Amino acid sequence: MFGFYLAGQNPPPLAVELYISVMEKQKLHAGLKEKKILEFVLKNKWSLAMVDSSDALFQPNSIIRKKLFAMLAILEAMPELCDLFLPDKRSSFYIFYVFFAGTRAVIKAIAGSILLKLI
Amino acid sequence: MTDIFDYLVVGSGCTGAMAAQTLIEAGVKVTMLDAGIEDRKYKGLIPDSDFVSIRENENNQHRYFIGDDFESISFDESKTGSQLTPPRKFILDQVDTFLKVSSENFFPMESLAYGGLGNAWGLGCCTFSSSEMQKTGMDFAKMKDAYKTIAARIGISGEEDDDISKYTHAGLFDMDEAMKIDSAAGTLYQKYLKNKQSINENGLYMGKPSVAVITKDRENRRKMSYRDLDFYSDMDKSAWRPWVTVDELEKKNNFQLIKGILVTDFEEKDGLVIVNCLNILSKEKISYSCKNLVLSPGVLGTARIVLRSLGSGNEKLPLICNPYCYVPCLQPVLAGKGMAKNISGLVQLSVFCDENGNNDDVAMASVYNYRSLMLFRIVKYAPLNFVDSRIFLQWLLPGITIMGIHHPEYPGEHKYIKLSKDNNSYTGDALFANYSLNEEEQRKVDNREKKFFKMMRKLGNYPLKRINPGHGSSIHYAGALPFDDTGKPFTLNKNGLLSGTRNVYVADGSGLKYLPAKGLTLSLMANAHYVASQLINSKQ
Repeated sequence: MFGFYLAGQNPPPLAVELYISVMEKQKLHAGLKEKKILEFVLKNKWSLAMVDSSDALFQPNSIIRKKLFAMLAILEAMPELCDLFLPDKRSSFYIFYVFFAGTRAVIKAIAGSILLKLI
Repeated sequence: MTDIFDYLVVGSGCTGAMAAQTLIEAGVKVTMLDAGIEDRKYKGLIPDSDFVSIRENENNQHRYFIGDDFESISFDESKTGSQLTPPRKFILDQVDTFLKVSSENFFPMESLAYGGLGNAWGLGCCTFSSSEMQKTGMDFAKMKDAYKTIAARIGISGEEDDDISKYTHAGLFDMDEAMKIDSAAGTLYQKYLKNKQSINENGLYMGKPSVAVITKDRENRRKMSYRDLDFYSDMDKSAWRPWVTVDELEKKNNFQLIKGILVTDFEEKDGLVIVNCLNILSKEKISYSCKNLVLSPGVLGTARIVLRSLGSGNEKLPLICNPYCYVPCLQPVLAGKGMAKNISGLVQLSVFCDENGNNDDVAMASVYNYRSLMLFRIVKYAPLNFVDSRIFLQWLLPGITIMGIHHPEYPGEHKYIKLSKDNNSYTGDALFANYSLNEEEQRKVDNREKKFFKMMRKLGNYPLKRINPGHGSSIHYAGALPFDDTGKPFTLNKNGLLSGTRNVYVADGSGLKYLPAKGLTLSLMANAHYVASQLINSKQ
């Protein structure tokens, strides 16, 4: 789920395997509230982007952010996904896409902060 | 303890390697004692290719980019050394076990690795001016020749004559042609050249750095190949590391390297120096006997050994460490422009802040690109969700530079180290450190940084965030046994002889009474050569 969210596609099996290993090693301990949020996100995949956006602003060290960070690092080291990370020459119009992504992130953060209050 | 060694050198880092080479070239027998920890995990794993090709093709790249133990995946990157890539992490192996430090405001990096901290050296080479040299306690006239010797040994590339050459080499030695710089640095440098008059009026100068990297093949080293793997591998030896020299010394009949040894203390007896050590594998105590001892395990390591050997348990030794911060910067005009495949990750540009125009108390900034350190490390700092941050930062990456700023530093009453008892330590002690700047010093640091930031903004390279990793993070330490010819305890004479001893010399930075902000490694190596030369002369 985290891999698909971050890469927009199913992550390579190796990435999943590595993610399981890193989680076993890091032994992240979630508090009661964080456990509740994690369970909610796992049941409602659509909410992950909102929770991530809100946490980026208000809880950057939350358990979900740490898990996503670990998966992102692993995905970056997958040759199949290197285009998502290596800088590439872009057309000038790409700036509109970047601003769209920024605006989208802000909207998701607002929605996420409301959602997190309700969970 | 059977053999009596003629010359024992402690430590295989930059200064130990240079002191040993000088002694070997003089024809004497040298034995080097070193903890000698090596990277056995990642060495040989990184293919002979470039960063981009590896990223595009190698299935096991996660092993060295992320680490077998996921060393790179850390949310807490404020600790000194946490930015090291997995293949460089061995530098810190066993340090917490054998080199305990207790402090709330000083976080040094030390090493028990073969080649010491030289494995992580940024390779920047600068010469101290005569006034800076005078303040350190070293003799400029004598050091001139030493600089030349060291430059010839290690190979330095740089610009012969630009706005910063008086700070980097001052024409004191020959160099290879300067390294090529990347497009972000190139754009910045062009803007500097257009605006240099007003920038220079504020005491700021920019240019291509001198670095301990060869751009022409020499003997068994290949010239810089711009593979952007500088933070991961030294396989072509274009960058000089201490082990390059020590490996060569090992081929000589009059040199011996004993690894796995941590020197703890010494005593002088019947004209000999008895050197007490700990075997870091078996934890057994072992002693060696020598006629001359040259200490160069680094300033903090030397302080431990000297305090254990000559101290009563209450002494405080002074300490100096350059205040340091790093600042991610952005040139928005380069967003989405792409990056060339063949670049170097080493320092691209150097900036010097010479407020009084006299090449004294000069602050220094080094500008790096970011690509090879991977995007994920900075994505977490963006206040956006990971998906959109990744899009945003991938687009911005060609314009992102990291500026590291070093400030000159003087000793002070709140900057000291002492040895305290620690029963949980193998050596029975820990080094207690206290370090803080007074208001005036902090004000100077802030003012200089403002000048650097203002200059960068003027060049369209906008500082994003000032990150202060804390005292100790510059990894430049000095001054624990200051030069002093009066014979005061815990000082060194000009030739590096430790006060109160007959045959114990210190060849690292312990003697410096002032720490210029310019990269100090070249000067420390020159001093190590000088100390070793004087030692040879005194025995003839």
